[in-house]
Amino acid sequence: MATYPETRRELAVGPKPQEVPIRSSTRLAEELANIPDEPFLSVEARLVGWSLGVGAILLVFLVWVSYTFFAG
Amino acid sequence: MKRQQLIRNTEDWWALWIGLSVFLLSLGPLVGKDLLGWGVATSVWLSLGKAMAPVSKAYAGLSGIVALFLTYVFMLLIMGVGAKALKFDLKEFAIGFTVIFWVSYTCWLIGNYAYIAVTPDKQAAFKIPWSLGLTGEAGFIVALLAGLILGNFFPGVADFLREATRPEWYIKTAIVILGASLGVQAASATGLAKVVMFRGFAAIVEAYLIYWALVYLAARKLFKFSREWSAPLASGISICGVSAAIATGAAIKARPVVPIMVSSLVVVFAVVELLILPFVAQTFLYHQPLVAAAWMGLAVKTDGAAVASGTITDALIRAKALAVTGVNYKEGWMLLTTTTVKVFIDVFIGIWAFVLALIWVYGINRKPGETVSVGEIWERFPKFVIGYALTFLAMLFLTLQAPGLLGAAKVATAESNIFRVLFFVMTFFTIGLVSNFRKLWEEGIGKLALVYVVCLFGFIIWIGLVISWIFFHGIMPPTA
Repeated sequence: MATYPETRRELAVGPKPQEVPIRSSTRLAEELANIPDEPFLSVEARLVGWSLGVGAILLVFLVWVSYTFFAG
Repeated sequence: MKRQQLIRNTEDWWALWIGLSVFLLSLGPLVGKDLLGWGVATSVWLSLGKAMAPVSKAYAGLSGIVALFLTYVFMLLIMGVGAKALKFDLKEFAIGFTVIFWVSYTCWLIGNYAYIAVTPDKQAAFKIPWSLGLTGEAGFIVALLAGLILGNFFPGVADFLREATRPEWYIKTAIVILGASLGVQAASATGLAKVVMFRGFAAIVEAYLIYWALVYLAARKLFKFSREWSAPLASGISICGVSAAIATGAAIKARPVVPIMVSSLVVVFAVVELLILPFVAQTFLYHQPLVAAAWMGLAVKTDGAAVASGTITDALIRAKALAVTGVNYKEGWMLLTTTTVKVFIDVFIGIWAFVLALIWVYGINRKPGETVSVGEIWERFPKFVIGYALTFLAMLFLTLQAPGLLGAAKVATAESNIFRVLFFVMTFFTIGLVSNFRKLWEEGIGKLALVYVVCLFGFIIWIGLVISWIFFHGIMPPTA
């Protein structure tokens, strides 16, 4: 996988959407149409699971704090 | 050291410096000086001659046209300083900025035409039998449509303007300036401001954790995208569009084309959301204004489109609530809520990018000796947020500590708001300019767009609505 370039211009002004080179369009379209299957790793499953789990627990906690200490 | 210097020389930092400069200059009325009172204020008009005037009575001798020209010169100069520091092509930037400024202002002027802008309660005052009642903020929609037309049907013109087509820079500068007026507003109801702040934070933590996981899961399992595409896609769709996609791309070391493609997609969909959601909110949520406002912050991606949709929602719902229920909500509280939610999202980007970098370095692409430093959180922290917090807290603190200065503070923020609004209009116009639908389609973005459509309309909008409802229902803005 290529590294993310940090050229002076990119750091300074950030990439612009229009700057996707036209000549790469076909190649990119082909790539998007034929993405090889990557196995869903256990670390990815844990990331998704933890994110949803922490979200559910925090929902209860944050609702309680909101209605107890920051009632409208 | 050199790398640190480069990082400091970004649009983000220059939005901070320029926004703070406008803010500091606007403080003149607090010490008896009026430094920005010549800025052009635009009123709802029937006769064009009465549409423009200097914002301060101290400059009443100036004509509206002169005030407009001075405003243009001032904005060109301050943005030109930033453009020079950022190594833009100055000539191209100046020409592009000039065209963008004047087209944007014309759109703003059109939006303020009485038959478009006047709310039903003021039709009698203008002696007109009907009006669309969209308020002057209709100018934002006009600017967006103008940008879309140019971007899609006249790509040569859009390309000619590209050096100055910087929607993210304009909106970040505007948000820094916006903090001041929201601070003055919050001083009039500190209890409510605290509630909005905390609940906005709570809402975004929830939305972030749920959105990201679900979009990533959908991209990987349902649409079979690779990790390199799925992570920036999940961040772009679920969080804060462009900045999040780029930060995530960097965190997982994706090829540059990946976050750029995702960013393009985000901008296009943000435009669609911006054109639809405020009107949906006006129709169904006018009795719950802050739910509608938080919903805009959670559902509409990119800073520009989200804050812009908050602005339109503020105007539309105030107009509808007044017409239907007779309640006249104070202007700005919905915008404060949307902005608060959006700013918290921006703060979260750095933290999430750091988490992803850790997982990718130590869990997915494990390589001996590779590490991630905590400093990367700061590196990815959106710096303009510091400016927003500074101007907000400065004005809040000042007006709470010295209530006698409240009048002068309102004059000061009215003057800085002239520039904030113009940056907003230019944001709308340039968002339209960069949204070239046909080109994106040619680049094979269809499959990415499908993920976006399924996730956005399948659950992001609805989860955002539920979360907004949980945290904001029953909380009302003050009345005017």
